[in-house]
Order: sequence, then structure tokens, then C-alpha cells
Amino acid sequence: MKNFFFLLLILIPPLVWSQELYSLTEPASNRAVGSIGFRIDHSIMDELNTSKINYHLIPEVMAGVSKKLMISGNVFFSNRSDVFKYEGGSLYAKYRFFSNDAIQRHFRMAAFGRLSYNNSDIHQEEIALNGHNTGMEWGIVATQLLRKLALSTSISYVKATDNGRNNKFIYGHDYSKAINYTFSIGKLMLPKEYKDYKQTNLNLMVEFLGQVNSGSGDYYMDIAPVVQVIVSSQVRFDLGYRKELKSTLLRTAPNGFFVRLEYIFFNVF
Amino acid sequence: MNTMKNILLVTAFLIAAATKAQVTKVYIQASGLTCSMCSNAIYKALKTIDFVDRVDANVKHYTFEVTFKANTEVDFNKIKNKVEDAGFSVSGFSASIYFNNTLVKENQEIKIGNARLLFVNGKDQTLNGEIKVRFVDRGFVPAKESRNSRHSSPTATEAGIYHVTI
Repeated sequence: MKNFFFLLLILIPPLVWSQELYSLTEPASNRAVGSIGFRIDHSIMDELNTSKINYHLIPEVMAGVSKKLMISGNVFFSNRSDVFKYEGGSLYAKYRFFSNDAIQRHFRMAAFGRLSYNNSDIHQEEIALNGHNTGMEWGIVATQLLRKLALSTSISYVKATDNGRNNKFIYGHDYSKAINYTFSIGKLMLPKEYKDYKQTNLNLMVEFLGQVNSGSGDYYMDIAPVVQVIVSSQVRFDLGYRKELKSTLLRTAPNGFFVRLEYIFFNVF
Repeated sequence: MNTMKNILLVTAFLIAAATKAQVTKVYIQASGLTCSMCSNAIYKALKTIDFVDRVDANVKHYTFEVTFKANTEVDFNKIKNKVEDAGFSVSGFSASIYFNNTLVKENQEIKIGNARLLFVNGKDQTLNGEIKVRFVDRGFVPAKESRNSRHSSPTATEAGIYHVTI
């Protein structure tokens, strides 16, 4: 805990700018109208009590539909069940319903929802719609941008159902619901001063991700530091590590690295 | 009779010339962003407007200088909407307009192409040469100023009526 506050202190010096393009959560801001983003997420998770590494590959397409609405869809592949295979996908939408902009700052709020399908076996109490469970999630997110610093927090309701291919949610109906809550901090480190779009941006982020099961009261809390590089204002590369801080939920592989590559095409439609 | 016709023609020409004001540039201050990726989104959105010739972005201050193609109508509202579509807001909007002996009176419209400008800051004057006017309608000024503005009518700007100050 001491280390955590120390980490916060180095991340928030008094004069800061910002970034809010988090890796594990979405900010309340939306994508530009008519833009399409392509992203490939890889996660390399260390399976507990085995020597196995779970590799997840998630390609995703995102589109800015209007200034308030964005949608995205992704597909899940992984080798968790020993062979690398397709396991499902999800659809996501986010609607920005509040925005208060000022020069170099904003406060925004958005509502979001996700529908996920997964055909793998249920193997943990944690409900994870990004490649493990079939289910739905909806919630709200608020993001504050203060020059080089961006703070974001979200709360959402998650409901798991049976997975595809007759893989039942084995923990029972009462344990199929949970509340997710997140807190993310992002800080623009470089450049010190913008001169043109070609400058490489370096962002540092820390995300906290929590879940509490509404049936059992069991929970987890993870931390995920991320280094992010944005090249030519169009290509993005994230490298992060997700680490469980505390958990009373049964989880298969909570710790590991993740890598994201993203490219944005503006004014496509 | 011919002389009379000529006088009328010349007068008509002079009146037309007197009201013919031309927009040369628009200056935008964007707000709600501090990342170059965001600024780039605005830049690229502005570039898609059919009557826009060039966009010069100041990445450091999030300002954009927009110049226009010759003989085109400038739709100020469309420019503002493009910034909003990119996900941000306009908190400052000015236009450099070339006036030729144009008499401006409080709350009297000056027509520039399809746009109608209403000057709201007082005294009657004759404008000559390139003059920068600031738009004060909602959506063209900071959110705070918008809320207190007397000129907060998005329907007016949709219809091409803008309130401006010098």
C-alpha cells in the first residue's frame, strides 16, 4: 500500500498534462466521427499453480458513429484450453451524455454496455467478459482531463450467463452477478511541448480494476501499470502488466503482460 | 435615357460592391483536448470540408487557421460542427473578413454569402479592409460564456445568423 501511494506521487507532479487512452478501460470521451480504429490486443497470462501460459489474442474494430456514440466489436482467440482457437466475441457501445470542455481540460461522462459471447469452459469465479464469459455489462464512466493528467473512474454491473457449447456457469445463479469498478490515471510524459503531429508521445498510466461478486461478496483488486507510445498521432503501442493485489475470488491466471497495437484511420465514412 | 440607365447601373454596381465582404480566414481555438492525436483528429476533420483550402494547426495551442477556396461560400456552422464531430469543442472562433466601405449598425444584418452577421457591440461604423470579427454565439465561445450569453441560439446559427463583435 505504501508503494502504491509512492507510485501515485511520482505520477502526479504539480505541473502535469494528460492522456486518457487507457489500456484496460475506456474513457468517457469518444472517437472522432467517421474514424475507424483497428487494434490487436495480446495478453500473456501466467496460469496459477501450473507452468502454463495463457495467450489471448483479441482483434478489435472501433468506429465513431456520431460525436456522442461509438461502437466496437472484437473477436476472442486463446490457447487456454490447450489448443489455440476461436472462443467468441463481443459488441460494445458507449454514449457520451455529458461534456464540459475548456482549454486543455474537460469533464465528461458516458454510459456504456457490452454483450459478450464465449464458447470456452467456465474455469473461474471471476466474471470476465473480455475473453472468458458469455454475458452482459453496463455502466457509467467519468473522465477528468487536467492538462497532462487524465483521471477516469467507472462503475458497471456485470451478469454472466452460460457459455456456448453447453459450458454451464457452474457457480450458480446467485454468483453470476458482480459490480466492476475502476480507477485510471494517465499522464503525458513526452513531448514536453507539442510542436507537430509527428512527435512521438509517451504516456504512463496506472489502472486499478476491481470486482465484487454481489452473491458471494468475494472480490479482487488488480493494478496495471502501462507504458504507451503514440507515433505520428495515429499509431499506438501499449505495454503493460496486470497484477493481482488482493483476491478472494477463484481466478485462473490473473497476472501477466499485455500488448496493444492500434491504428486509426480518420474520415473513413 | 441612356445616361439614366448608366447611372442606375453604376449605382447598382457601387451598392453591390459596398456590401460585398469576403471571408479570408477563420481562426479556431479548440478545447477539451491535450493530446496530439486529438488535435490531429480535428485537423483531419477540418480538411474534409469542401470549401476549405488549407488548415494550419498550431499543435501547441490547439488553434487552427483555416483558409478557403476561391469563390466558395463559407459555412461557419459546418466548421464548428466538424470540431465537435472530432470529439471536442470550439471555445474561440474569429473570422478575418475583407470589408469594402460597409456600414455596420447595431443589430442590422450584414450578408456575407449565405451567412448573416449581426454586430452586437455598439457603435455604428463603416468598415474598410481586413477586419477580424469574433463570433459570440453558443458553441463558438467557451461553455461558461455560452451559458451567460444573450446570443445563445443554436437555431439561429443553424439558419446562418451569427452574432459577432469587432
